[in-house]
Amino acid sequence: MPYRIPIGPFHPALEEPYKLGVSCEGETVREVAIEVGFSFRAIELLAQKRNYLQGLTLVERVCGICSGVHTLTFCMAVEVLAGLEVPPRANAIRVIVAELERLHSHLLWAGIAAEDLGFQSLFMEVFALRERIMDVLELISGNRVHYAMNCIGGVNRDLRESDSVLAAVRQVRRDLERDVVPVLTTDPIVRARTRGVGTLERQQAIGYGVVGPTARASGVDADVRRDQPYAAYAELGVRVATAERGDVEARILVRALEMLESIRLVEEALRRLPSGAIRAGTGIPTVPPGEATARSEAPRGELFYYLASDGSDTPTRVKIRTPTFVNIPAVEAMCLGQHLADMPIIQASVDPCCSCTDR
Amino acid sequence: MSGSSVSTEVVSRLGCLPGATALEHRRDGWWLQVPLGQVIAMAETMLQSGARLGTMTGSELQRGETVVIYHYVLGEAAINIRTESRDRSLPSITPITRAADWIEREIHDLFGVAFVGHPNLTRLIRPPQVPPGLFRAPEATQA
Repeated sequence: MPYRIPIGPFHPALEEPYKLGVSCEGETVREVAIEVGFSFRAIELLAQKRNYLQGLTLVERVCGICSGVHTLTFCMAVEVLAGLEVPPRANAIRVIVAELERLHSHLLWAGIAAEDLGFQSLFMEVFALRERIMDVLELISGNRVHYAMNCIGGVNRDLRESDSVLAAVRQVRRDLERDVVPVLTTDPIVRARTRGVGTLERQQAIGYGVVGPTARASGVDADVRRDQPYAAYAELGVRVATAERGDVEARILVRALEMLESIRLVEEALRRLPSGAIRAGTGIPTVPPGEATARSEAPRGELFYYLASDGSDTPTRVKIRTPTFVNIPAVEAMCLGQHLADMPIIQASVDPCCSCTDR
Repeated sequence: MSGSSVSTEVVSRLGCLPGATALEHRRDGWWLQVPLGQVIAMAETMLQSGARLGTMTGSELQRGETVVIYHYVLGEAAINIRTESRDRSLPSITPITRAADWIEREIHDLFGVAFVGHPNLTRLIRPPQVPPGLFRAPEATQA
């Protein structure tokens, strides 16, 4: 007899609410129903009641992990509408903050994955490294989570702590290369728990339209930073990591390589950091009537903003499409036919962010 | 984001759909409008070209209608296709493009658009006990 198990909304794998209704035959999952909406705050609607400056503060709070990339993409959409050119130094600082954010997001994910695999010592190791990155972000911006770095036309703060940032990312790279990446990619216990588990075939990945590391681990070679470069990514050149098998192991491998690439990008951006202004103009720009879209590569994949303006100081429409919104439906395909005990790591392998999904 | 020759070809095929408006190339990609009756043909054209449906944006119009913009990505090019609902409904493209499933459910939930042909048009974000259309102004405040 098939039986049903509700997993969530409060979750074994995540600190965020979403619900998975699982039907099993024995230990094998036969049906999956996904429910979201538990963190719905109507941020899109609220953003249509606030001016552009207030909107920035608001969209930064869509997510408590990838907060910076939300303001970045919001600003990019406004800059397209207002025809603003961001100064080169501001673009480089945007890249540095965005890559540090990716690094701490991927480290957070690696820690959660380690914990879901029952690998407590690796969890502790990874979270200690993540703290180093959080310290650096605090040093740059004054904040650990909501950096408030981006403003329309540039960035709010200059970056004067190059040496500290470099020292920190180099230390993190040393520890990643020495401990974390080898354990994640070669340890027999990790491999036994992740190889062939939660597979998303390439065709399925394309069908669901998944993005980010979830897509790249299924052999979809797409990355907004390379394909539609923004900020300073065109000059820096992004080496996109992909894997073919589409299982949890492949998603671990892709994120491990992306952490090392983020460190390279931070180093390269710091080495080339141009001098000059950090924002275009001063004060609040006038946003003419019209509409614009902007895309960026958040830690979890493509982030999309659509903005419509009637020429006033308040947008008439703000649409936010977060990467997890398109990645979560694919969890269904990953879970079918899998063992019940693998549900936590399969879900964690997507690195879902429910506050992003629900907004 | 100027677009490769592949996307140029697709965009010109879209422009040939009956009733489609002239193509516009802006800083953030291609924009055009197709009539309601051509939404399925548009989705099939995009599927054949290998374009990825990034998302769809719903925006409120008067009298309960909704503008829906389909945001596609094809290689380096972004293609944005606009249409408007009629009698508060639109044809669903979920049978053609699976990626539209949750997006259409969300627009149904927040704007009250009925996507005809959707295999499972249930609420996505908000509970079924409250009426759909949270993102619309209350009817009484509309002109």
